[in-house]
Amino acid sequence: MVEGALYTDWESIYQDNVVKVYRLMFSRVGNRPDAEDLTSEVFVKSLPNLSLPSPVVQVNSYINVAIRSVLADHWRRHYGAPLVDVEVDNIGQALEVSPATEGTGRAGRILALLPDRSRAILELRFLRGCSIKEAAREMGVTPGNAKIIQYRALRLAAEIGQGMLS
Amino acid sequence: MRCPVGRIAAFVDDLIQNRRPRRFKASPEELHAIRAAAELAGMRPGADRPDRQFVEHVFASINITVGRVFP
Repeated sequence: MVEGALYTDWESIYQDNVVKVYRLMFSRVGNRPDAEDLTSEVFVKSLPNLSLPSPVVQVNSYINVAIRSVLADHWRRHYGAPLVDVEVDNIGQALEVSPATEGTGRAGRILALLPDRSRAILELRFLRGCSIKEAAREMGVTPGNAKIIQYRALRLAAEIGQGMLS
Repeated sequence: MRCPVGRIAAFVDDLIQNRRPRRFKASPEELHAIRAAAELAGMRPGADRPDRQFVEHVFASINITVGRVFP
């Protein structure tokens, strides 16, 4: 980014940032309908409050604040998360998210650090799109056991992810 | 009523199908699990690319809103 660069129109702000914001939202909520709603909320909420021309740095910071607020509200309204519990540590890097690709990036690194069974269930589910029954069959366990392994694996993945942040 | 293991399994099912997940009051442990699941759901190639129609639709909405604020 050129130091002192300015945004002079809404379209440039939107076109420069919409994909990055969407991808960040997707990485937080994991599904298209919610990612679309939250992305839309960020832009429709934040853009009309900006005065133009504005420095790029200021606009990015404004968008990051909107992302934090929209995400915090999402977790609070739909899952009862206390505001203090919302993970926002990386949101400051929101506009520098790298493309998600199988096995790379933060999620890939988390998977790589998991014990074999935990990694196996999450790969079967998230990378191969297996149902719980199919994943259970592949792993030679009952569907009930597969659900338990999956729950524990996700909690472990969360712990590893937290460790990466700190 | 489902237990945490069942709720998280259903949540993951929704993510894999790219559906809006069901909502529930989550315990702190469940919150950690659903956030980890959401992050992993973005690993499939192309999963996190926005739909072009969506991008155009939001831009049209912004134009309307901005036009109302700064006519």
